[in-house]
Amino acid sequence: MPEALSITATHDTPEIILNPETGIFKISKRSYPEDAAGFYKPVIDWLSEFRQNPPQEITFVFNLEYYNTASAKQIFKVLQVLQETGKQSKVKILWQFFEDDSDMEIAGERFASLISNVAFEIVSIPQE
Amino acid sequence: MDKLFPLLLDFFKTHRGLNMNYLYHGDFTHDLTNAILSFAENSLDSMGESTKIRKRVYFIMVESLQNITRHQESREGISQGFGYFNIQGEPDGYYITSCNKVLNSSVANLRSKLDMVNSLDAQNLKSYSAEMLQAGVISEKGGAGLGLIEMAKRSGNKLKFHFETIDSSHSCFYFQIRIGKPVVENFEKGHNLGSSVDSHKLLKANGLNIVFQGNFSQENVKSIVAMIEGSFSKSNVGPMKKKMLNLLIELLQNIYKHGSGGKSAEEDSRPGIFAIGVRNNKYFITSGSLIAKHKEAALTEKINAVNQIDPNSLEKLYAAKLLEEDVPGAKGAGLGFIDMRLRTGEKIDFSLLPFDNEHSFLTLGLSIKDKIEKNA
Repeated sequence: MPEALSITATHDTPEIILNPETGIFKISKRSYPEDAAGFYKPVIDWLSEFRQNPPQEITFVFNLEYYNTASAKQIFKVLQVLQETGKQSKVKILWQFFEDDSDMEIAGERFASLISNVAFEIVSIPQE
Repeated sequence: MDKLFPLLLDFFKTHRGLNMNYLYHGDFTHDLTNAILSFAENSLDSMGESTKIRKRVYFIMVESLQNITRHQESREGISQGFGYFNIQGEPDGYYITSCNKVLNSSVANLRSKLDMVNSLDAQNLKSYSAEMLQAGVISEKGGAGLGLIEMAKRSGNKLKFHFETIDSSHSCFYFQIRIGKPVVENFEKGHNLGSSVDSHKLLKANGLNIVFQGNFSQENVKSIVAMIEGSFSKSNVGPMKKKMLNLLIELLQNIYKHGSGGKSAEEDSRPGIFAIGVRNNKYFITSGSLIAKHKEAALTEKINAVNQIDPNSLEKLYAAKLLEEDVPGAKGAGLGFIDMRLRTGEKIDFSLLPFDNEHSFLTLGLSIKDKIEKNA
């Protein structure tokens, strides 16, 4: 199992926590880096390795404020790896959106319709 | 936005010589003031300005912005939503202009104060400010007149001002200070208050609240996003703010990823402009940038293709793009225009206007609705 991966948020990149020990898997805040593919590569690599020997259950949380379209494509790649993981484990995706952000809700529904083998929950959370 | 696009081009051409030009017209809240200050700080920092210049600009900005907020309160029945702030980066320095509404009855007094400050030389300014500090003379509005003295002292330049009559009881008080850069002292062009006043009129006439022209890179996109977050933090545009920011990020990243006309081909910043305003009670954002003429046909085709698709197929196209393999060296995901249409629920308004022999001026306009009907 790979070691925990933790990336601190900046103004244009999200906070990422991938920690098998605590069971916290989360991408949050803002994501609009100049080079989205470069930013997400270690994340996708990590998940691909993790997928080789996943625990029985995982919950993966998305809690994004906003993201650019280049990031949308990378987020979808993350979801695709989780879809593969879902063939062996019970994978739950928790797509959180702030209650006034209907775009983020729609984005969740869009991704949910394209991903299988996982339980995809779209949940509204109060604005901070 | 057919009228706005040529206007954006005119504005862009007129102010092309500036390193940066930021304009705001509307209400000034505490958060907005902070947002503007940190935005200007970041911009000056990224332009490699010296600490001395940065400190001076900062000080003058704080004073000017406080001047607007102090006087916008409706103690004298002066309505809000009238402030104006402009910072222009010229090769010979920074021009900071502010405007607030004043009573016609106080114009004479204000004018004589300004004339008095302008009549003092550096030495006199110094001793006068010391005197005032000791005497502790404070005017009714909390200003000591000391603000004016300090601004004149720190800028080393005369205060430029202009009163524009609005109606029988009010005037617009424009006030400009220049912070010169010593390196180009010989090329001094003096104040350009007239141009800033004209810009303000243009903003008012077209319902624009924010205009920024400069060189776009990921660094200043970040500062702009932070500034817009601050600008709307306490207002009632909550649901629209995120939509606006999402769309703005996409527009601005387009400028530096696909734009042209930078100082060199390698340079990672590109000249451009964007504006945010309100029209028919709806927010809109618009951007302008230069694109190479040979890219024009392909771009037009791309936007038209996205505009012609029915909304349901738009979702399918979005999904298809997500599934596509990354193209090595590609600057985006090919999702930008599709995303803009999905988020606005409208066709993308755009135009390509002639600029010079090699470039066209691409303008994009997006209206922001409160809510988009699903599958609309």
